[in-house]
Amino acid sequence: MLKRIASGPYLVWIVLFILIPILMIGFFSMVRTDAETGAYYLTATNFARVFEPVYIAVWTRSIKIALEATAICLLLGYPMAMILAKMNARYRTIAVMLFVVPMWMNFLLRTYAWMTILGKNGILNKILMFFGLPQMTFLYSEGAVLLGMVYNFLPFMVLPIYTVLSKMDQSLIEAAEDLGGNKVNVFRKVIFPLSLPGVVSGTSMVFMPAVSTFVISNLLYGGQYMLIGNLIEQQFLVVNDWFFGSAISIILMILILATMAVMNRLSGNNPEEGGVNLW
Amino acid sequence: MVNKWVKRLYTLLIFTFLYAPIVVLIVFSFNDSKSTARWEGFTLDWYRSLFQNRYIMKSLYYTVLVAIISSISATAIGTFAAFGIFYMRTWKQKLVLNVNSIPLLNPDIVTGVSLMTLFVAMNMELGLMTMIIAHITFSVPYVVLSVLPKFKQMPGEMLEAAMDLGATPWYAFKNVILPEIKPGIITGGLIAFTLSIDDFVISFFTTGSGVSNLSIAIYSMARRGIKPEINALSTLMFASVLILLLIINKRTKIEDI
Amino acid sequence: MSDKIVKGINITKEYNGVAVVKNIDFWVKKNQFLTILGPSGCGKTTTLRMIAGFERPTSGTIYFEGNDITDTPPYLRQINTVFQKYALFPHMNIYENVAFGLRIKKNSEKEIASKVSKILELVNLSGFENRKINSLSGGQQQRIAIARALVNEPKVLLLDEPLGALDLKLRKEMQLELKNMQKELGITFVYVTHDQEEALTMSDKIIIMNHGEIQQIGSPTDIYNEPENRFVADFIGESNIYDGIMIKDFLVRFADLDFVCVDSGFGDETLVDVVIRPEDVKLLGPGEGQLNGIVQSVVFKGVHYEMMIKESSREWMVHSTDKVDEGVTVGIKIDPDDIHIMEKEA
Repeated sequence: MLKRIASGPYLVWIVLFILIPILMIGFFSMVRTDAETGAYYLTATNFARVFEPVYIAVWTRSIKIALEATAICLLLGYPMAMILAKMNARYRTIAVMLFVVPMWMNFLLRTYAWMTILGKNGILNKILMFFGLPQMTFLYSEGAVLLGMVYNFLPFMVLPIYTVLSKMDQSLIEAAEDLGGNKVNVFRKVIFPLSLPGVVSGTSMVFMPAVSTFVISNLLYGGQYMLIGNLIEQQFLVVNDWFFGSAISIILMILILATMAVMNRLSGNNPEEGGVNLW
Repeated sequence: MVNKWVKRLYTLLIFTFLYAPIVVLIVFSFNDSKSTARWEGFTLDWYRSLFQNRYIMKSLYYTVLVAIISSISATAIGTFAAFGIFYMRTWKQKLVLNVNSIPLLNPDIVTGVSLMTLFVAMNMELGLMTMIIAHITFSVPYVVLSVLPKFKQMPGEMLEAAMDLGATPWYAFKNVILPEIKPGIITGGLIAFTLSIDDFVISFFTTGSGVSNLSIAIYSMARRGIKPEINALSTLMFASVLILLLIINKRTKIEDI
Repeated sequence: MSDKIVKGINITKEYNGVAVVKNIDFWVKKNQFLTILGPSGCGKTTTLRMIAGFERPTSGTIYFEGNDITDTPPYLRQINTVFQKYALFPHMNIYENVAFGLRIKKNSEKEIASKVSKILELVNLSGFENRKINSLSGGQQQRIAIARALVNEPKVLLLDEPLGALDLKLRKEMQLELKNMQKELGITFVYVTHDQEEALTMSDKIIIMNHGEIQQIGSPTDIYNEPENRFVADFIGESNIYDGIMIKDFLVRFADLDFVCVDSGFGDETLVDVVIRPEDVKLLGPGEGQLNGIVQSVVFKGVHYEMMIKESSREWMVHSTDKVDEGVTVGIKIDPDDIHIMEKEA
């Protein structure tokens, strides 16, 4: 009996607060209200609007910036993860902890910090002035958003790769050396392929929040329709067009889930071993 | 040798990148000027005005209140849920775990607007209550995922053995199963608490005027420009994170011995 | 140039100031099956890893065909290793695993294909090319690990407890197979194990190590019959070891009696260890031997009986195909050439 009723409250909860809300925005994305009667009618206009050139530009910008941030995090993070994994055990614990500490700081504070550095009267410009160079506008540019993303999400890339690398069976690397592989060969043929699961989870852990953020772009760019996240926020909180907002949300959701599915395939994850695996 | 120095330099650069912004915030929280550019002398004024800022103090209160209520509720719901899920049939278990993982995979903004849509449709006034519900919703999946493995590690048929010896199901749960899964519950509760403290996006969409947490307060202040009080707040938060981590580290070290 | 293919001179290896290999000298002759035998932590694996190039000796020099290779990285040595837990690459199939070394040497695809199929035939795994590593049994993985090393035609093959993870029956089969392979291919094998039986079965020469030092080097028969010290006697086979005094050449006193023996040169009145193998103790009727004892226990071991016999304050382990019942008094007889005398360790 207890076994059966124990999950009862939870089942009610997830139906009410996870499934129904998503079904609701799914519903809203496909309807609009009649201006006179206020009744719902089925329509494809919401989705059609998503593909208007203005919004297509927002999608491409979002995906482009998120991909750039992911690539930079991977390029910066992989060597860092390797260095961490090879570190002497005594320093390693401290170094890994130093990587975790900024993640525990409030996300908004970390982003805010860059406002003070990149701003017109920020430190960076003061340094330029000190060397007699002209002031520049760093803040409120695409570069600032990219920087904010890399800064906030770099640990998400480093830590999973570090975990995979530090758990890697050393004898595999020795075997590769033993069979004639020099450093480059060993990395290319053994270390990197074996670290792919870490790369894949790092990549999705950076790409997902980067593509859907509206905070970083709002604080470091300021423009209204910069990224998809801003667009959704505007539709729900400013423009009040929930139907269009829902359509964008649904497409964003599908984009993310599809990315996850592709990434899972790529890393060759066995669904049986993976534990939680969506569909 | 060269290799070693390249590695050290690289590590130094990355850590500088990670910590420079934090250091800047901390240094300028003691600066006797509104500007973040020039050092005008040491002051604690910003800390004073931080504690006198009613908006921030109220947000702090709501942050802690929401974190406590939502993490305790999420832990309770999630623990019982894991218990029930563990004994479910395979297909049902898979289905439930898939729904469970939706909030983990879905972008926060989608979770936020979908919950907001629901609350508005149900005519609930956006505020403390809706924020707590939202926080429970995104925390429960983490509790389930940290408690469920403990059930799987448990020797089989423990519940049956206890009941065979005369225990009522409730007695068996409390005295046999609970002690086994306690580490998972504690982990889950801590995750729920920190997620709640740190959340911005979902809170932003599910709360109304008058009720905001610290993240929302920082956001609305930061949008209006540089505020030295935020520097002071950052310093205090950074210090508490450090102290917390040191305590955790010390505790785990003692347990290791 | 001599026929010593690998030679180590004054090899010491320290970790954080603790020496795990202490100033040892060793050599391996061409086409020899050499086993380094010892209990865990004796430094045998470290020694093997220094030959392979995974560890650098703290001091000393390693030669390969007369050239100093102490600082040569593993990938430039004509030596290959079979790892304890096989270390097969999980992201590659069998074919790619075996072809790994050939690919790096830039062999042509055709050459690779023919070499791989030939070596898979040798280890009886033809047709397994496209299988995944984790679909193989432990014994099959073991064969692939050997094939992967041998396909590179190394001059020396190092094997680090390669049979440790297999069950007893499979282990016995693989012992014979490995020995045959070594004879057929004419490759020098350096084999590390803690299993004395394995060492005695397979080796041409055995190095026994303990606490980072070499205890004895010799052929299996030498080591079994003439252990040089108490450790070797204890470690190889089962032994009765007693304190004794060398009265003079060819006469030793132990068990409160003087025995004629075949050893000399220890010096008169020297304290020694006396080793007697359980199968060398002959049981006779009471009073018919040199000593009398009472049978304490009898255990059937499959081929022989193992009996513990109490004589005065001493215990004797005896292996015999004839069973004597518990509680029976027996005479104990030892022939002079079954008494092995060893100098006491300092």
